Amino acid sequence: MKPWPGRRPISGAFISVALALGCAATLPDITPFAEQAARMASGVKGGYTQAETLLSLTDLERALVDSLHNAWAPTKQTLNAVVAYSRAIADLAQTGREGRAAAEQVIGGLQGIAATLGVPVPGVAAPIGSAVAAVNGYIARIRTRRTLSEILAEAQPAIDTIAWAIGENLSALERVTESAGRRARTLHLQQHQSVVAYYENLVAADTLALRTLSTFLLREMALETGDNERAGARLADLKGLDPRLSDENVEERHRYWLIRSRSVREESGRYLREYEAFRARQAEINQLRVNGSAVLRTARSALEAWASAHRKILRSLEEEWPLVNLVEFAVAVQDVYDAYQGR
Amino acid sequence: MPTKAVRPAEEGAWSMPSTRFSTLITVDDWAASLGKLLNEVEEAIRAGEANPKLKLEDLLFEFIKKSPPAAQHLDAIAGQAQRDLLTSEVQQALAGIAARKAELKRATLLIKKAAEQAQKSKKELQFENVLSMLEKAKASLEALKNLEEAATVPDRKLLDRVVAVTGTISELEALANG
Repeated sequence: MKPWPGRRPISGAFISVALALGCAATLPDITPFAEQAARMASGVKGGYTQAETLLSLTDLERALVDSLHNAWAPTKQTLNAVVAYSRAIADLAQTGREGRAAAEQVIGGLQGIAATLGVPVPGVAAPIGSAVAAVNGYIARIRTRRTLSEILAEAQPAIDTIAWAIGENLSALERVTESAGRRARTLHLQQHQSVVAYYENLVAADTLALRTLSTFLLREMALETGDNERAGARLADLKGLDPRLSDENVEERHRYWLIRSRSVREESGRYLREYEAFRARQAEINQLRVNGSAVLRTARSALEAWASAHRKILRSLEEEWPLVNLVEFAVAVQDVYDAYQGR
Repeated sequence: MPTKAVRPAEEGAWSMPSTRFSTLITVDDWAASLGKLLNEVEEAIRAGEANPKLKLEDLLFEFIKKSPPAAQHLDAIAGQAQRDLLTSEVQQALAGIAARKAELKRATLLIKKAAEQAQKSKKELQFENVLSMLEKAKASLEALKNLEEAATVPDRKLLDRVVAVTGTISELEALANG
């Protein structure tokens, strides 16, 4: 993962989402963990779609493409389970955090009953009711923290396995993406090979013509200024460039190269648009490959960050930290989305 | 063993253009060069390493691009070799994914169970909050009922209402436990 500080400006809102804040009774809000897990899962699935898109541009046997699609299905199901699990533990944490609020709601209801009865009911008068709600809330948080710790501790090895296994699958897909990108660009080249070869040879001929004409010009300038030594050197260069040139036919060969340059330029102009379209499509295919590989690579890092964030939450519960820093996880997930954009 | 991810020297770059084909002149020269490439392709597929395969794919692209028009029949062979490299990469990916399938399935089942446990605990916690409050309310109403019954002139209307409310709370408790 790229180093965090100073890499790009991050808004305050983003940071506040990424930090899971805990209340005084040490039960952190892990809703940001669940939200980022959902984003991550979506990003990982998108990485596979990119690989499939590139494969569709190749001549890979259809049966193999289908096999890959089927082989990927369990990974998709696991990602759905990851999202559901992350949501479930976030909800549980939230219920624990809301323990006091829930208790206060019930107390409020009971105070309504007391009002109906028209008499004070022991235990539900306002200050006592509030205290009871506070105690209930505290108990709820303690119970939730213990329950969450047990659930997370038991799940951690599975989390690590999932991060590793899907990470390896993504690396395998990255290799497929790189290979598919190369095959796709070759197939595209072969469709336009004649035009591409002709145009590029025209450009090479044009380059040679221009070099030769420049040398003629330099010889002329040397002659005009009376620099016979330089003129002689340029004539020797011209004989190297044009084997048909001799001392006797310099002007004739100069005229030949002028006509040659013009005709090569004109001819290459006829194919320029087609050639530029070819280059543009090659660039698109390349970009698909580069972005696709980057998405898969960053998705693997995001999975590792997810497993690490889970471990941090577990530690925070066990050691009663009020705060869990999930910035690394959020940044890793953002990297996946940036990779889509080619950033 | 973890597989190494692809890391081109410059991220996203193709391999550097080769000078391998610059000295080839006749079609026979090109055919001989392709023969060598095909041997290297065979070896790379056998070895299974990613980067050598990618380099060969780039070389085959260059071969096709630079070969003279008279060598078009060689281009078809070069293209097929490139397709073979892609096929081998996909087959390797399939094998790797299959090898991890059982472990992934086990881990997925575990976190599904963990999610169910979390959902169950959440419901229990929510009910417990309510049940505990209802219990306290019943106790409070019981205390009020006892106070009133002990009075010299008990308020029968109040006592009836206390009994009715206590009954409603009992119904709610039964629902929550249900």
